Amino acid sequence: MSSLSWWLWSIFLAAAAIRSQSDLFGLLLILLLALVVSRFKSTSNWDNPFKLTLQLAFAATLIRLVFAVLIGTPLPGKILFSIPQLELPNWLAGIRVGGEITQERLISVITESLKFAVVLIAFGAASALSSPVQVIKLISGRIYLFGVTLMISVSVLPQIVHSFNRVIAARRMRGLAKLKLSNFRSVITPVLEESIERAIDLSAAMESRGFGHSKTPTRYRPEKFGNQDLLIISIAIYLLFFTPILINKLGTFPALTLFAIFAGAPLFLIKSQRAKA
Amino acid sequence: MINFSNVSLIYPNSQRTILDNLSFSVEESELILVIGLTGAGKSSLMKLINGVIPHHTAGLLSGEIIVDGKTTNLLKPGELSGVIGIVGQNPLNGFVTNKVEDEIAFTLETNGYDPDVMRKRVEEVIDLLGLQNLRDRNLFTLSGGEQQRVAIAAALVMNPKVLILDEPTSALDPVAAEEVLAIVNKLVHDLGLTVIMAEHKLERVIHFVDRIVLVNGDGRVEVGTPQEIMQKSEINPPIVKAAKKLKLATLPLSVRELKRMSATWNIVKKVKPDKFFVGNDQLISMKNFSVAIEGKPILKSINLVINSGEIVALMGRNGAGKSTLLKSISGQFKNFTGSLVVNERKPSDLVGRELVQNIGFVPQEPADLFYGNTVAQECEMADLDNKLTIGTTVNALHSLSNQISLDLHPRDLSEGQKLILAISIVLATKPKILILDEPTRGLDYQAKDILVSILQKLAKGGTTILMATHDVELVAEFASRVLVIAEGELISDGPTIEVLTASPAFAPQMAKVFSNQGWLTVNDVISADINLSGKDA
Repeated sequence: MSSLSWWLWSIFLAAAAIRSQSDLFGLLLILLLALVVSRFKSTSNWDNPFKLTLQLAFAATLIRLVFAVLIGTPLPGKILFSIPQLELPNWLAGIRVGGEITQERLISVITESLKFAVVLIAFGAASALSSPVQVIKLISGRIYLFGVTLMISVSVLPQIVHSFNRVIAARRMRGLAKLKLSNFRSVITPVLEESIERAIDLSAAMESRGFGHSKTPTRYRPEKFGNQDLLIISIAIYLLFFTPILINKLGTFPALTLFAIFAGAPLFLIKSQRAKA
Repeated sequence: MINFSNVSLIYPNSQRTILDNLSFSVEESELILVIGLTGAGKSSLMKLINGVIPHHTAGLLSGEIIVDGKTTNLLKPGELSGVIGIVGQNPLNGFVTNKVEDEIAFTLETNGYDPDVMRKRVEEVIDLLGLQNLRDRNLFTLSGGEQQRVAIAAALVMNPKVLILDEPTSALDPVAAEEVLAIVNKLVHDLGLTVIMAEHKLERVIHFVDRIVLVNGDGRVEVGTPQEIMQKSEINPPIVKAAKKLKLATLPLSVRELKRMSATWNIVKKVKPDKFFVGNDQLISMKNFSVAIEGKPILKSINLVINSGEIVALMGRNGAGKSTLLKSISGQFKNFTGSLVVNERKPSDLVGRELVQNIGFVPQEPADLFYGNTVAQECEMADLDNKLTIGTTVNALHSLSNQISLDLHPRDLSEGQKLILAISIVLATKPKILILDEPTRGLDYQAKDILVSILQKLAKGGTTILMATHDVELVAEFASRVLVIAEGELISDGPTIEVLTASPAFAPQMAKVFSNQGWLTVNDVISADINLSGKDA
């Protein structure tokens, strides 16, 4: 599949899962994406963006849960536990700090977080399956500065991760063992300075090599957009439109089974690229 | 081919003139070497040629530069991408894509070449630079020498008339450097390419360049044959330095030339180099020490004892495991097998104050340690971090060098000054062992001399020094013992003189010229009694 197809496929499926209004579809999609990524992961990536987005999504869910417990609008329902509540003035009625935590409150937070997680993980899967650089080249031939900016942000990211690790090691050797908010500057300063240098170097290199110079850049080894791509993207679009209808007509579980089969289409249709390599 | 007429360059917000009224021209198929101290303006001079300065990076330019009949005043660097190929100081920073083949094709793509033509061109440069086995590899996983070769391939794919290389071998081990320079030589001689190259390690290149451009740093630039420039310049490779000290009439540039000259000399008195002081107490001891990262063995059962007061150089090819060994000794790895004891402790257990009092570690990028706005602030924060009395670090800095202005931003220091600042931060806590990971990258001869004298002073004071480096001349100057690592195994361990003279790749120039004399450095040679007039009976 071409890089662009992977992006479209994962974005459509994420939207379909969100449209289903059901947590099960979201969870199922995350599972499917993990399967597809483990089989068709692109070898040209610097790291594992899928794993990174999984961790991010998990962290975001945790943070939201903590905040849901501490503050928020009260939601009536079954009380699970309560923590001491802070008295707030009258004009802040409707907001609680501490107090009773209901099951409904937690479930609504998890549902909300799952939507966010699905979108994030779908992006992670798309970047793991394709090379972001290929996609940027595809869309930025004509919009020069936009292309440069995107290209730099995509290539500087792995370098930031790399220099971050290096600086952490260096400051440990300087005797600063624990990472505290107060001395976080000692990490951020060298990392940012280096990434700015790298960004300047890269944009000079791109300029020297004529990026954006020709209005009609050509492709070396263009990625073929074949029938298979068309089929898989069509299935994703079909799911995007019909998932809510399927749930209505068939009930959740039959619809879920259909969704799993169709969304998992790449697993049946594409031969593993590993075999080739 | 390239014509500079009355070119002057200054940077905004700077008082210093980089180039002042420079006029010279480069003929077709010439190999030009640009030399000068770090920060003198070598890179600026090279960036002017394809117009990156002033079109991309700000700079106030007067005069005109004409390349292949086109003036850079009117053309953007991109429009010259078919005429000039440029490879920056750190090729990894200039890579746009992830894969070797894509990277090579990138410039062709942006210039809208036909896919058929592209395929042919890419194949040609892959063959020319011997990249067949690397074509599908990820650029991040390549070694330094391989990255340099890919960057050169990516520049050559447009069939440029001029190739600009900014310090192509500064990060490479001697063998990889030879590979890259052999390719440069081939490009000039077989393809008639015009090459302009900056390089600090003159001993690697001086014997095959046509002319040298010496950038003085105060605006003055001198252009001449290697002989002329070497006579005038303070920047000399060991061969030239020795020849000047011996007051030879003609300056030799290669090992071959000096060796032929010296064939008739009569060496009256041989001088054995001084023995270094070595203590008896074991400071570092490793037994069957192995490290694997992600299942891949990096170090394989290393057995090693280092005593106090030794100055040990660690050599080996890029990726051989040097950095891993240094990081292990400084306690940055917890997952290893075998035993490792540093000053009777396990280094991975040491943290904070205990760590810095035992081990001082200067990373490959000294700037990783810096986070202050000025040198003075940097030193003060180091004192606070290490709970020292305020002023300790500044004093350490002053004992090493008086040349560093305390008001400058640490990032604005030259490479050599950054290194000295990093060493003083590390030394302020008086560690027993000083570890340096390839600190000479980008250092000029002057900075290296200062480094050597600093290290020797420290060693006399009892600090044990362990340094990874590719620079054989530097090792010859300062080390008492050399370790060589290959593929994670310790393949050679012994006194400097034995290890360095045992292999041609590691032999310094003086050892190559005066083989069997036991000399490694220029000082060894000039302190001997040599009769230049010939072998009298």
